[in-house]
Amino acid sequence: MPEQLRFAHVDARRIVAKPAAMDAVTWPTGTIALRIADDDVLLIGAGTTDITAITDITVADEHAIISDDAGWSGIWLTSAQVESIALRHIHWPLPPQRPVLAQGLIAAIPSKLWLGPDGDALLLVATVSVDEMQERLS
Amino acid sequence: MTDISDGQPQVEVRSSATPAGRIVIDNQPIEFFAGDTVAIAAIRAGQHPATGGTLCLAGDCGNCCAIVDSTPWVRTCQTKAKPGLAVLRQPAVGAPALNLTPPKSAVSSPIAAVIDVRHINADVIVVGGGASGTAAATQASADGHTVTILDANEGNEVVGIYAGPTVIVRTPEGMRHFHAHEVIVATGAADLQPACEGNLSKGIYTAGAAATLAETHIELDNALTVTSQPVRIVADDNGWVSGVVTADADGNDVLSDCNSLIVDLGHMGRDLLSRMTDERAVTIVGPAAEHYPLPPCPTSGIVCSCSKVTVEDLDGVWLRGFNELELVKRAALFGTGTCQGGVCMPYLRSFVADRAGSVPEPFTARPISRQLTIGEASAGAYADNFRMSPLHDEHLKLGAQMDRFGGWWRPWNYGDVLGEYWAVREAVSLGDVSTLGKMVVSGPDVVEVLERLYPNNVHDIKVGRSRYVLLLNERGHLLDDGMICRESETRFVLTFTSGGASFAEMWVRDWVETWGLDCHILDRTTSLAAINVTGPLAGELLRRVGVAEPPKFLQHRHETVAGVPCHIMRLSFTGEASFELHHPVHRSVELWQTLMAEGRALGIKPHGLQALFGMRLEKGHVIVGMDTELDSSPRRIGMEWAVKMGKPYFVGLEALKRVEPLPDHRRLFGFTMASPAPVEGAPIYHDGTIVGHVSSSFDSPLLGKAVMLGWIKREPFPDTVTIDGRTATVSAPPFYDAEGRRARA
Amino acid sequence: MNEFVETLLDLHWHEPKSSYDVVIVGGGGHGLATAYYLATRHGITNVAVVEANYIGSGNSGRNTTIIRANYGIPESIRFYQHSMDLYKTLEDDTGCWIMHNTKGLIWLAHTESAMRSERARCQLNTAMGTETIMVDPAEIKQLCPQIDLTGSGRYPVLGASHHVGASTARHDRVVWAYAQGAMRLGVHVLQNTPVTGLLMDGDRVTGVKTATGNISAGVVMSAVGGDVTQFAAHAGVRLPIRTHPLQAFVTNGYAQGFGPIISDTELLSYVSQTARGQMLIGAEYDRQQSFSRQSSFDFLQSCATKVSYLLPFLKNLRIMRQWTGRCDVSSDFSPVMGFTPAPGFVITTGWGTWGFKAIPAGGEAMAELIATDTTPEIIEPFSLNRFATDHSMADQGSTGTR
Repeated sequence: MPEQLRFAHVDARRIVAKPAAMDAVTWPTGTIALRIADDDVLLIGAGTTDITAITDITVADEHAIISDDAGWSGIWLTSAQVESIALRHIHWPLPPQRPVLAQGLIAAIPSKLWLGPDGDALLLVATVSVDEMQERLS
Repeated sequence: MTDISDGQPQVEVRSSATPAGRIVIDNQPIEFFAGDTVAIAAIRAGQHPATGGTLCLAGDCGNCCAIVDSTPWVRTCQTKAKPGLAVLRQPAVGAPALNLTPPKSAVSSPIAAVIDVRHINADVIVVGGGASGTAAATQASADGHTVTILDANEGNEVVGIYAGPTVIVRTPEGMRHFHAHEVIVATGAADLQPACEGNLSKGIYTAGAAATLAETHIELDNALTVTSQPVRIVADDNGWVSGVVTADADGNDVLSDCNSLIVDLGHMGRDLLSRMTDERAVTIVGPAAEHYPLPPCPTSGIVCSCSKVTVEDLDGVWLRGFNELELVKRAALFGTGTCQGGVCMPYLRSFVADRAGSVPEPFTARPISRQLTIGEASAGAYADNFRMSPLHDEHLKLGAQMDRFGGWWRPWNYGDVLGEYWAVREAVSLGDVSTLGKMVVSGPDVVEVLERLYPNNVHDIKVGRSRYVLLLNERGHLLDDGMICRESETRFVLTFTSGGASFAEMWVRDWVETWGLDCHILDRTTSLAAINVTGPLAGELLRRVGVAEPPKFLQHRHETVAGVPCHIMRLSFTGEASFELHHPVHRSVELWQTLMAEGRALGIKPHGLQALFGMRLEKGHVIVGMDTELDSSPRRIGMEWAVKMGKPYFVGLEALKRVEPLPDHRRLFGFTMASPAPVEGAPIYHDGTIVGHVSSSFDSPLLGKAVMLGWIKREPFPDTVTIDGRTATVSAPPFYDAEGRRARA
Repeated sequence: MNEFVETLLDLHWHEPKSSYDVVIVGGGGHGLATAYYLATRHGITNVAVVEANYIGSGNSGRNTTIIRANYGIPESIRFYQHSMDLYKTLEDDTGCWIMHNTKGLIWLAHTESAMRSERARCQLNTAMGTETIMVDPAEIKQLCPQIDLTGSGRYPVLGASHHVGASTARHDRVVWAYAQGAMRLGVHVLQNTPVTGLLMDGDRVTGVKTATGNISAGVVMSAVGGDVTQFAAHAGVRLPIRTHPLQAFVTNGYAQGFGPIISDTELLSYVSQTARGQMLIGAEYDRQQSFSRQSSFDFLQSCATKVSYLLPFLKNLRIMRQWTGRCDVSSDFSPVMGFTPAPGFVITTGWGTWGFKAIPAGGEAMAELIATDTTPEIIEPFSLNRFATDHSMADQGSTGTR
């Protein structure tokens, strides 16, 4: 990798709720809902949206866990950067459709890769592994 | 034609092209032409690339191996010549030296990362670009597949086909890992090598090698072709072929003079690669899949040139009762060199068939196919991912010696273990406990889930209160320990040890799904950092940063501390009043710095693991994994109080019930004795025999003596023991503040 | 002729009979050593060793040939130390050249907790009469000049335990030495004879079924590796065993130049140089359970990486061959030897990654058990019923697993 990738803290909200309740939610505009499991959404702000200011998330599940999730760091990548990382650090084929969330080991670190509609992509890793990730990708 | 060889002119170069550069073989410069391999450049210069042996020039045998760029055992027929390349011949007898200096060239660099590795998702891979490979590729393309052909002659040496199928390829540009849907092996056929006396001479080529030389415009000097096994190959004093003895129609030996010998003895399927894999998505086509007739049983000479095994050797072990192909192979070490049986196998099978009367299967082919270096194999691998607390840099700034513990980097000490100890015991101290496992569980069945998961009672924990719990496996053995904090009727926060956090989520999730109970799970281990504020002045420090009324012992609540939202849990591992502040990872540095600054007037110091381990030992607290074994039950570590055997069910209950009536023969005890403390692990003696060992020990500054935990594996359990040649007393922990007044203060 | 072609051993094969006093299933090191000691120590020679393939074709021919006794519990140290002692005299006892070579084992520590473990190991080993001492980085460098004490900047070496008496031997030759000794005294070794089931009389095992016919026996011993859980099930015996693949690889041969055995808990791996000059490298067993013997590139890659941190010179060596064995691992990481609930059926298993070093002591003890119908004291702690009586023998840390 010729360039040094710099990850930054990503504010997020985390919602864990019944899958059916989750399906029924309309996520606030200006957010990206990363459905990391049937019962689990990582909600991040798109563009300039401050996700921490969005407090009116309602899910039809009284036992839902809705909390801030401060554990993520991310970086926006161009499609060329994604391709370059995939060639060296991803052992699995990226899904063809867009937008789509791809999850798995990237450089052997558990990662989330949101492939946006316009070819750009957000790579998320746990902040506790971000230094290691930066070192591996550079 | 320049004669710089040790022998006579062997070749004639017909091409009028100009040389592309020079390589150096045994410190002698040699010209090469564009496209030459090292082996061909050597032959062009009238030399043998190694010290002798029939050349196949197809990467099948090991007869052209040399030390290339300080890497021994490189097949020179598969290595492109490039200007300045340094080649050394390996000794004819014995092995090349173990290289003690790391190599310099890029492909075998000491830093594996500099070898370029690419992961390529592919549809159909065809290994081999010859006739059968091309035909297979054409067919696959016609069937609508995207086909990638990997041909060794094009520099793509397939090292192995592994599960997936994953095809590992070595190229001059680096390693390529193809993740394919389907692999077609079309490696073709290899030439049979001669097996007769004199076959390690210089100047012998297989028919295929001769054809390759012809294509590169090298005409062999005074060449003779034989199409049946020679009786003997004759060489001159320099080891170069000078003639060949063959049998005529009447069986008489006939000597024919020649300067180069071409042996055209037929073929064998090049099936090493295909036999190494049992991957279902691999098909084998063409000659590689064919069964070629075995050559006649060899009668003399070296049959395995890599390991220098002769026919006499084979006979020797056969007559000693090694009567199976595999036993012959192992007793003679046949086929265990570079070619891995690739070219010598037919002779071994033919030998065994002759002696045993039936044709044996080839011996097992094991990866790898084309040798790669350990550096090349490791290329693209990653080191263990040791996680870093958000406070990592803060610790470094404070002079911490960091150590890897439980998968994390953690402060071992800050250079003043005793100072850290006294800060906790007499003032206030901070400990980074961000590494703890943290989990939120919520749902209508949550109490049922936790009652089944933990051996302690859960239903009677009041909202706002917490409880220490053990986590057991199905065998009733200790897996982990931690706290559970009740946040509401249907919501709890669980903590796990730093080491336990890695499996905790899977453990809880698996059980919840197994039981089919309704409970949400959110692992917050990496979202929340945690700082333990501990010491008699811990409450005072919290008040100074805005917590008007810190929670009481075993209470917990959410409250903002110094502007940072925190979940405050009051507990105690150090023995002093302790408040764990769980807070968002990205606010951790800010919180830490504020606490350190506000605590300065109170004599604050952070403490590392080393001081912590001592302090918890004064309290007799067990560390899972340090004081426990993987078969430690609660009874054995003296923690039956944390197990409610009357509960209808919890994980491990059945096992505990089964062993409950059995005599207990092994138990963790506390011990004290005069300082100095013995080494952790020291054997414990009683009546002159070893009855156990010390699992933790500490010279208590406060108590002025050594305190220990240790295992005794003998009944009846003694009252005094001998450790380190001195008498130690069995003494029930805690050794310090037994009533727990300080923790509750 | 190379100097390693076998020239001393003679294997004398016999025609099979339909009945023996003792039938041992599994012609690996443990099975053949048991037969050898039955014949040499107890005069019991009406014995057959029944092997599905060729002798030594299982894990006996697939290990990293390390012989050591630096375990973490007294019972294990005593047992393996006795095995080491038997190994030392095996060449004299059998007249075979097993290429036994004492080279010492250096077990490296990179963290404070690993140092703590190695110090503990030294304490207990020394107390049990096994020479294991702590060495500092300078001493390690003297013992193994090739080592990079910084661990390539990533795994700095803080210290190590040095198990002075550790050695290696050629695995095949150990198998053959025992086979020859047993066969000379009349033990039958039947190759290519897969056992397909057990002959039972009620719950008593009375012989074995093979593809070529039944063989009755006074005692049947299982010295099966890899398939042991399925095999014992024929006798209705359930074993607390899980089977995992274990992989290893060797490089081409090089001149002798690497003295000790290097081992490491954090970068779990073993490195030594064989008598033939190959660098022999192994690691921990695969995480997933499997009966497969397929080798993987993931192993090769990760193992190559681990050893390269410590021994950077290895990067330049060419890998020749990788292979896979199958480890039967008990729930407490200690072996299982002795009687089973099925009368007439005794067992030696649970040999995980530590079976090779135990061949002499395991064989000797099992022979005594069969000959005397009594469990020898040295293997009493390893009996199968320890799980039922809550006397398990957890020793994960020192088995070279995690």
